[in-house]
Amino acid sequence: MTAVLLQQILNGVIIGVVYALIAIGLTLVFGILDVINFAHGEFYMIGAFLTYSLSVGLGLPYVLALAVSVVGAAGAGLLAERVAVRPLQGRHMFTIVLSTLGLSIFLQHGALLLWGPDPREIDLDWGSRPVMIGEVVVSRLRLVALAVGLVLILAVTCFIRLSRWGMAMRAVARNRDAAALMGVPVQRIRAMAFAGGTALAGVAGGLLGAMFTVEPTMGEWAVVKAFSVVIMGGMGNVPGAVLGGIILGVAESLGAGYLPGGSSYKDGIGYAILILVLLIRPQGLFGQRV
Amino acid sequence: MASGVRGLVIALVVLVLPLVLPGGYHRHLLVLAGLFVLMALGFDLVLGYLGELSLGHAAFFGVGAYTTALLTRNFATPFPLDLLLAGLVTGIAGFLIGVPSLRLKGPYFAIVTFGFAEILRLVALNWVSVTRGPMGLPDIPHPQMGGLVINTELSYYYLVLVLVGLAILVTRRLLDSTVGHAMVAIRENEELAASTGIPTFRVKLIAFCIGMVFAGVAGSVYARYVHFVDPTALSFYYTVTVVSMVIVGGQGSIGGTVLGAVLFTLLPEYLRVAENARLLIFGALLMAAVVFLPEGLHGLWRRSRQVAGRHAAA
Repeated sequence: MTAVLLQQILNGVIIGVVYALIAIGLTLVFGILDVINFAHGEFYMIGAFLTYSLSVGLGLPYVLALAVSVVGAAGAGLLAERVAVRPLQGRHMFTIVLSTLGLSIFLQHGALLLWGPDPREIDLDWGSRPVMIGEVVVSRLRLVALAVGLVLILAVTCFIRLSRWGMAMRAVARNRDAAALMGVPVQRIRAMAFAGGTALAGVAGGLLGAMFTVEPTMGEWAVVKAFSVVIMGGMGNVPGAVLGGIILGVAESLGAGYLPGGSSYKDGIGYAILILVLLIRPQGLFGQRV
Repeated sequence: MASGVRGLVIALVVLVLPLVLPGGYHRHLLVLAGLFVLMALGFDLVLGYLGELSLGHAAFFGVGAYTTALLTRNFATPFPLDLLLAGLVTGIAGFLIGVPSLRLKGPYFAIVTFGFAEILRLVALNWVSVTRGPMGLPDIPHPQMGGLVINTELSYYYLVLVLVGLAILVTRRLLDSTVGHAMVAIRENEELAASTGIPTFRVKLIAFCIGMVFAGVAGSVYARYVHFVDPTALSFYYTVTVVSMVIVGGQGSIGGTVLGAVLFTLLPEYLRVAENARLLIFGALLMAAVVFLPEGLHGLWRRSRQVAGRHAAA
């Protein structure tokens, strides 16, 4: 009984850490650019497809493929910011939402043309081998995902808290005009935050893509989870997004295991949390700001 | 006087258009366009006049469609009654979702309405004993009133036209009323509106419910028209389409909304020649429209008239 429970919780935490990566990307873009990026899930999808093509298609080792995909997702993000976000600066939030929705349709159907609709699998020999920790079993791939996720979360947090660029980011998030007056290159910071956000989504795509399947529509699902997490953590709040991600991962894992008919409504848990939090504590469980 | 003439010309074109167009396909597109106009008008009440972005519009369309499907299949409800009930049920759904959601603003309102819509879609998909899940509900009969049967594209077109006319009338009356003025006041500055004694929450709720009823009515007619509903009627893609219609058409303008709705019904259809690249092009066009038409088609029209006026004066 407790072994099953522990197993569910561990699975939830691992998935949750990856959710957190997606959500940190989304929350950074919201906090620093004031943009709700509805195409965020598509960068998650791009990361997954690049990892698939590089590892299965070209035969690169998985971790190397993952690393290259991150660069690819960041590049795609830079381009997207230039085309769909920057020209709309200063316009109403709704127009930017529509622009990112257009971007999302564009990228999803671009992927459909390039890779076709069929779900693909990234099959890893070493990845599916189990590791026993006490009574709990984890696949090696999941351990790698957990490690990569935690390292990246730590790295992003340190970057934002300690580096000069991170300080500039926080300045832009707090007050863009004042930051510009102090000589912060606001445009470059915004582009950097956007690309950083898409890169994090890309890693998450490469990780979850290897655990589940890779297909052009996978981003829709990811962006919704990321929204629930970001709302839970408070929009623009990075540590909040981490906690929110883990809470969602565990709630889903337990819900699928213990709710009657659980797995068919599993994806609804995210929405339910989202709505509950918005109604009870719209500023997020842990308050706001980067 | 000029506007009266223009109104007459528009009315004539709208009435005669389906008669001169060749083939059922174009008439079919006109019916769809009319239904989208109805949805878009309801959406614009919230976006254009309340200034809030609802991302749950397709769900209300779906509620209307499912209400009619369930009523006609289970109780053989006669035509205008199921339409009214579909409107009523959607209005109640709008109330239930509006009460909690309208306390939020901006990005939060957008996301919470999106969340509610997705939950409704999951319910339609998973409550198999009532909705038959992904198999959908088939065999929804055509409307029949006495000897009058609505079963061709042409007759549906005129039915939709009547409903659109009613919706425009309701919208105009609403906007001219105290509630309408209060809506615009809230859009411009909610705190200020509240401080002048406007019951802001109640006004927002009324506008939201009316807007959702439009969507529900469109859904009800749609279910009759295609004989069938399934959970894809609630898909986010339709919400995106309606958002595009209103923002590209020109929010806060009935003419712009109608124009945008017609354009964005025809555009994806005519893009079918591009086959697989259809939605790829659609997405790109959407971004381009947002970037290059700051005030939508409506703004473009207004500016071109100003330019023409200036030339005439010179």
